[in-house]
Formats: sequence, structure tokens, C-alpha cells
Amino acid sequence: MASILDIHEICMYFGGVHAVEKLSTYLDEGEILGIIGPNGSGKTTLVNVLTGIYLPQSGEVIYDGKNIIGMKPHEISKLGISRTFQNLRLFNSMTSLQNVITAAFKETQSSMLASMMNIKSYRDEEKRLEEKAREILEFVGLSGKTDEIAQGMAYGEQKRLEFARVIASNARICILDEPAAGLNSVEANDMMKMIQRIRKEKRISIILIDHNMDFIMSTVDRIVVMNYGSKIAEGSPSAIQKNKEVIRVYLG
Amino acid sequence: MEKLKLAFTKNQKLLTLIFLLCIAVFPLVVHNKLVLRAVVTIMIYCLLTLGNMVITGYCGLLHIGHAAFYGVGAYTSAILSSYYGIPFIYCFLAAGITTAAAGFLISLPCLRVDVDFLSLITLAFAQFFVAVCNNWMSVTRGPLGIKDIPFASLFGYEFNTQIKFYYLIFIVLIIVYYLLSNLMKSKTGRALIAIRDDEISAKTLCVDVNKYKVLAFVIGSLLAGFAGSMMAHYLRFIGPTAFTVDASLLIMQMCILGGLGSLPGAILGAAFFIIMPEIIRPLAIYRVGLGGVIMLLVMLVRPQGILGSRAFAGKGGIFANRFKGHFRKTKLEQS
Amino acid sequence: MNAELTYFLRQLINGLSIGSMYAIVAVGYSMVYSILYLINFAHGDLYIFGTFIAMSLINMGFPLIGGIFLACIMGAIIAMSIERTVYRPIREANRIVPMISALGAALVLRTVAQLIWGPEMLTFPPLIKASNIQIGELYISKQSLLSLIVAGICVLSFTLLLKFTKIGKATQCVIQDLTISRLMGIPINIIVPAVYALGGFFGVIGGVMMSSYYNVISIEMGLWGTMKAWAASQLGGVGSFYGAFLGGILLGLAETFAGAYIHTGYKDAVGYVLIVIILLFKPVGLFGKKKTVKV
Repeated sequence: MASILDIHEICMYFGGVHAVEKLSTYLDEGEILGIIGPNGSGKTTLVNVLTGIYLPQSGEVIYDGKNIIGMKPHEISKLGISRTFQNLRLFNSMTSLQNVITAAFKETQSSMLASMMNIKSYRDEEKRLEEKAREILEFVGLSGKTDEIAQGMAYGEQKRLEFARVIASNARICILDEPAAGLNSVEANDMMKMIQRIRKEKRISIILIDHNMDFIMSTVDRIVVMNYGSKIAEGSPSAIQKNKEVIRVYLG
Repeated sequence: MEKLKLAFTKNQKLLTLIFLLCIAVFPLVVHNKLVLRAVVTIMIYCLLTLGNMVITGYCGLLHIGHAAFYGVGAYTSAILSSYYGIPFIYCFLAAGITTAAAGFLISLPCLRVDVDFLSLITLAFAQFFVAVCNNWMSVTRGPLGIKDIPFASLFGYEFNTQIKFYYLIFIVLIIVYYLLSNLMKSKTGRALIAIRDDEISAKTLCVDVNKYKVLAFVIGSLLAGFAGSMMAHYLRFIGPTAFTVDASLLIMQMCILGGLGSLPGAILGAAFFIIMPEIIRPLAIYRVGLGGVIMLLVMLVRPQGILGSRAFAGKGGIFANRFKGHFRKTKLEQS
Repeated sequence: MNAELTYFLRQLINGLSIGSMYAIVAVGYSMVYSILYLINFAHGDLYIFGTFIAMSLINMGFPLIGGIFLACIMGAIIAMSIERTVYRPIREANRIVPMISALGAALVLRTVAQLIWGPEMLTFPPLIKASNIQIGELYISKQSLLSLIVAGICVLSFTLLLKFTKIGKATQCVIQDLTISRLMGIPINIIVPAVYALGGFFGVIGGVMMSSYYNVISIEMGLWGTMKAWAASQLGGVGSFYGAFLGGILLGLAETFAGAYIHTGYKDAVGYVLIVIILLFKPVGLFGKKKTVKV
């Protein structure tokens, strides 16, 4: 299976802090890649580099034959890479339904003129978007909460909404930054099942970042372990579990 | 309270129609010149508040130079018609285009910078504009302003009475409101709100933030330009004093009271602030302060204004929670 | 000395004097902004209010220094009350909300001032007798010198406060990082009002200097003053008081020279436009530190 994403020697420095140091890895099509590491190991920074929010000092990321380093976030998103945020970045004043509809931004075709004149093709598209959004909300278990304001929802629900948005964006690669953080074991389990289902149903490739070892081990196909910005190990979950360096970093 | 809200949303279309009909027959029933003038002024200001609402209410960009856009439109229309005798319809369109161009240019530097710096840029533009109006004697006649501006006219038909102009601005406002309302409910509106609520998140969902910020300014300034043209051909006189920073602040207050992020709020806010000084005539000099008290009350009790978006609600202001608790108690007692 | 050089030097001195007054109010403004990143629309109206109080006290026969000092204290108190009632409850909302609230407070202050002192411009008593010091063919008014000296003293005392007092050091921490300071037990709810109070105190000094220089005081100077302070501190850079001070001086110089060599009508506008242009090249301001947003 071909690599859908190739990450070559990314170096991201903030002044004297080497947040990501010569990191290389790849993502196969259809696989779930887990990235783990202690706090401050550079996982989220890496995600920010991949999604165009930070510009690295050096390195390349090849997607679809193109180097996406240097592209703006919305351009990268247009190519088909979406993400969730560790600390949740929902559109707080919108309802969950509106959040998901907005997330399908890339798919929305109607021109400004069409929307101003309220012509049939525009109305039809809006209806389709709404239906699709309702389907997605049902998938993540939020069908009863479509008209609730995002800000007022419970934390677990917000996490699911963030995930729903990524689904709505119709991406080929989804980067999930700590999707299970702060969830109890039941919610985390549900989240894990949703992630696996979506990978199968929509055949998307996923990069998953988390702290929770159990969560990662049972969800991903392959793991990259980071520490102080560098990759210290890479392999299958069972291999990583036995890796001495990883054990030292996490337990030592 | 909830029952009222529910009844309103169910019959929204009917109520809106009734409201529009009332406004439409108003001048046939009420002949008081002052009242008519007030309503016309409200309608012109609605164009201004709608524009400001797009920029500040929907896109979240604090814009304190809107009166300058108003002025660009007014002066463009006045100059073209007074000095060059160009027919009104072209002046009106030119006013819109010129102002939209100004809005476009102002928005460009705003893209690179912090939110607060953006406000400073709009302020700088506003100050610069007033200075130009006051000093470019050859074109704007400075503080004297431009007078004897021709009436608005379409294909020879002159809008030279209150009632005729009333219907002109009414129709313009309805068209503008309809188009804008549709636009804000669509992908464009969603993009602006997304930028307001969380710019970074919007970027990762494929929203070209820069493009939409520029668009917000262009739409807002276009409407202000139209408003300027209408005002110029209504009062038939314009001067720099109508376009100062204080004027921008008044427009902002209208939007705040009506509720940031709501188009009906823009209408409500404009109506309130035009009617208010008429009601408190004897206390006219305290209009500014009353505006301030209203601002404070809004911020302390209901920061999102009367009809505004929850994005501006915060924790509800210091007194709101006390009142909320009271209502909740009585509800429980009832059930 | 030829006439042109004299003219230039005269404008230079004027620019520095006006600039130093802007500097004082800019520093007061910058203090609050650097912590909370909120545009304090009430700053100008606040210190003008204090300046009105100073005027009344002096006219009533209070000794000069005492009257001004008392007015400054009142300015500080009003500033703290604004913080408590207007800013604190709504810090959580969208950024615009507290700024609008401050706007409301500014308008209220303006009206109360109008109620007490009437809507017209009034004469402000000069602080020192109008007389000049002569250096060669150059006449420097004592008033100008006074502005410069007072500004210098303000900045010096301010620096001393910040560096050598406990509360000053705590303020420095808060400016660096509000959240961490709170986590480390620094009493934010004491520091922030204190900073507001200090801003109000210095603001009134600046206001008094300005009114004395122009011999006039009017409510209109409130909004005008807020905008100057804001522009100057943006120019100087967020988080840097010396920046705000320098920004004020530069603004004063830019305006004076623009007024002298281009056109008096464009004085105010040019100042702002210049600042915007400079900031476009260096968005964080001359001495500002870039605020990193955690994604």
C-alpha cells in the first residue's frame, strides 16, 4: 500500500527550543498511525506543522506528490487534511448542527449570488448539507443535541462534536489530537469504536495522538513514539510495548 | 417569555409581512413631517448599521471608522451630481463602488495584524478622512460642506417630497435587507461567524480567512456608501461633522444595543437611537451620556444586546445571573 | 543661527513637549493594555475628568501641587471602580465586549463631567507663569520645559516602582503571563486594580500638563486623549512601558512636524497614518514582544 503522507526530517524551532527535531515518518493509506509521547514531546507542534499553522525551519511533507510545507492552513485543508484540537476549538456561538454544516465548507458549492437570490439549487444544497449533518451527528451519538449551542454542551459531547466536524469535512487524512482526553472509560471506548468505524466506512487515513496507552494500543495499527521533539521508536503496538527506550521514557 | 418567543418564531413570516405593510402604509396615515423625517433617517441609518453589523457583528472585527465610509459615499454622490450633473442612479452606484473600493483598501493592511491594531487602522482612516474633508477645499469645500445637492431621481422622476423619498429608501432597504439576510444565512455568513468564533479552527476547515475578512469590509462599506448617497440626496447638504469618530461610535452603539450578530438587531438599534433624542428633547445635551448609560446597562446585564448572538454574551454580565436565578425560582414554584 | 534652523528647533521643542505629555498618558494606558489586552476606551475621559477636578480645586484656592495630587488620587479611585464594575465581570466574553463596556463608561464620565462643569470649553489655569528661557535666538517656554521634566519624573518614579517594590515585581510577572501568575498565587484581583489606579493617577498628571499647555480644558479632549494614548502605546509596543513612552514622544514629534511642514489641518491624521505605516512594517510595535498564541 502506498504512503499517502511522507514526513521528511521536520525541524520546528521556537527560538532556542527545539520543539520538533528531524522527525521523519509516513502514513499509509487507510491506516491509523498513533503518535505518543510525554507532555511537551512535540506531538501537537508536529500536528500544527502538518496543518500549516506553523512554518518549520526545514523538512518536507509530501502529500499527493506535493510538498505541503509553506502552504496556508486553508489550502492544506482543501487538499483533504483535517484535524481536531486538543483544547477544543468549536464555533461556540453556533448550534452543533451549524457547527457540522460549517465544517462541510469545502463541499459547499453555491455561489454568493445564488445564495443572495435564494435560488432553487442553493436551497437544495442547503437542505442536502443539513441532512448530511444530521446523519453525522447521529453517527457520533448527538442526534438529540442538534439545536444545542456548542458552548453549553457537556465536555464529552463537545469532544464528539469536534470529531463530527472532521467527518463532515470529508477529508482523506484526519489528524485527531487527543480525542479521548478527559473522557471516562466508557466515553473513550465509544470514541475508539467511532474512529475505527469511520476508518472502515469512509476509508480515510488517521493520525491519532494521545496519552492514554490503553486507548492507543487498542486503536492503532502502528505507533511513533516521540520524546523531546525526536522520534525514539516506531513500530507495531506490541513491539513498542516491549521497546526498552519507550519503557524508560514513560516509566523511568 | 418562552411562549412569546415560540409564538414569534412560528409565525415569523406573517409577522414580518404585517410589519412591512405597516411601514408601507405609514406615510399615508401619519402626516406629521417630523415623524416622517425620523423614520426616513432611521431607514438610512439601517443601511449603516447593517453594514457595520457585517463587519463587527458577524465577522468580529472592531470597526470604529464606519462613518468615514458613510462619508466617502456621501461626498462621492454629492460631488458627481452637484459638480458634474450626473444622474442620480449613477451617482448612487458610484458611491457604492467607491466606498467598497475604500473598504477593500482599508481591509488589506488589517489582514496582517492583530485584532486591536485593526481597530487602530480603521480609526486612522476615519481621522484621515475627516481631515481630508475639512482641508481639501477645492473638492469638498472644507467645513462649509456641499450644498444644493440635487434631488434623487430615476429616469426623470424626481423624489422631491418626503413621501416620495420615503418609498425610495424603503424599497432600497427592503432589497438590501433581503439579499443580505440570505447571504448571512448561507456559506458566507457561516464563514464570517466561524472567523469570529475561532479563526484558527476556521482556517483548518478550509475557510480562507483573509478573503472573508476583506469581503466583510467590502460588503459593509458598500452599504455605507449607499447610505451616504441616500443621505446626501435627502438632506441635500453634507458637511464633515456628520462623519466624525463620534458618528462612528453612534453607529456602533446602535449595533450593540440591537445586538451584535443580528440583522434585525441592526434595525432595532438604529430605530432606538434615532427615536430616543426625540423623546428626551428637553435633555438633549445628555444624549451622549444616556447612550453611555445604555451601553453600560447592556454590558452589565445582557452583553449581547437585545437580539444579538450568544458569542457576545460571555457570562451574562454581573446582574444577569441574579435576575436569572429569580426567574428560575418562580418557574419551579409554578410547577 | 539662521531662521530655518531656529524654526526647526522650535518645532522640535514643541514636538518633544507635546510628545512628553502624550508619553505620560500612553504609559498609563499601556499598563492596563499589557496585562489584559483590552482597549481601554475610558482612559481619556477618565483622566480628563480628573483634570476637571484639578481645575476646580485650583480655582477654589487649593495649593497647586496639593490640588493636582488630590485630583490624581480621585482619578485612581475612579479607575479602580471602572475596573471593578465594568471590566471584571465580562472578561470571559468575546474580546469586543469589555471594550464596548469601557466605551459606555467613557460616555457616562463625559456626561457627568458635562453636568458638573457644563458643555463648553473652559480655561485651565496655567501652572507656571508664561515666560520663556532664551538660548541664543531660541525661546523655550517654561511650560514646555515643565512638560519634559514632569514626564521624566513620571517615568523614573514608575520604573522605580516597578523594579523595587513587591507589587511592582508582581506586576511584571502578571504582564509576562496572566495565567501562570494566577496559578503561582499572585493576587490578580489586587494587582489589576492597582495597575488601573496607577494608570489613572499618571493619566491625570498627563491631562493636567496638556490642559496647562493648551490653556484649555474640554470634554472633547477625552476621546481625543484615549486615541492618542492608544496610538502611542501601539507604536511603542505591547508590554513595553518605555515603548509607550517613546511612542508618545514620537507621536508628538510626528504631529508637530507634520503640522509645521505639511499642513496644520492634517496634524492629527498624519500622526495616526504614520503610526499605522510603521506598525505595518513592525506589527508588534517598536519594542513590543510578539504574543504567541497556543494552538
